[in-house]
Amino acid sequence: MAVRESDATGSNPVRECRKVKRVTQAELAEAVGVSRQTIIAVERGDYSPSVYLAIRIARTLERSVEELFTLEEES
Amino acid sequence: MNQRNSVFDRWSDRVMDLDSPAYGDERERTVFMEASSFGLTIGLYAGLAGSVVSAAFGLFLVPTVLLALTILPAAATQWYARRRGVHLNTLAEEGGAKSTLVNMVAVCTVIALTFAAMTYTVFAGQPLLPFPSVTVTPGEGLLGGMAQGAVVGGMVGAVAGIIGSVVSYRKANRGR
Repeated sequence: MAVRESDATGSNPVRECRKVKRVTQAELAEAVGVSRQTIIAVERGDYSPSVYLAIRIARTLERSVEELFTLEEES
Repeated sequence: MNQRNSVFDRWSDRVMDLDSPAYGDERERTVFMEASSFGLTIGLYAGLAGSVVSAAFGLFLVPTVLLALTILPAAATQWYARRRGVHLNTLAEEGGAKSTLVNMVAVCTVIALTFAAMTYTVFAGQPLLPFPSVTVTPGEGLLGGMAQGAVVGGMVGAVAGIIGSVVSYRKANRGR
């Protein structure tokens, strides 16, 4: 599983959803139990989270895992 | 996970302390493990390089110890993975990765060169390269002063490291 790659504008579903919900990277990190650096890496597409972390992020942002993450070949 | 009840298993669990918060979150943990593997690999190659160089100077004990010290971590890695159901040799054989082949050839080449240098010394009665003559008299000259500074500095640095570790531990656990 991988976070959908950022497009030319640098946006991706996790970052977009986080901004819509007005949650900072630090707040999201604390809610899902990882460091802010990890959230940054996920949003940049530098790190593919585990299923468990993907679920925690999706629940925190009140979205489904499929909306936020997808297999790289599908993107 | 299987076969994890022996004394060595419990000892390895304690050494690794895989539930430690020091590993950080899952990404940091992954990078930590990758970094540890990278450091170990560099250490193995440094040991192999040291063994072939010392063998070229006609030494026997140093290259033997260095080779043993490089084999030990490799064997420990194999053992640790096997106890958890991952057979590294099988992976290497079935993977067919070019990087694995290159690493194996490089390691075996260095070991062959080490024993070749030792063989030359045994049959020729002299080292492949003349051993550089360096005499260090404590307290005399630049080298003597450096040697004294190095041993005292190393001891002070190690003690400072112990104190710093304890202070960091207390600071991290304050308020928990």
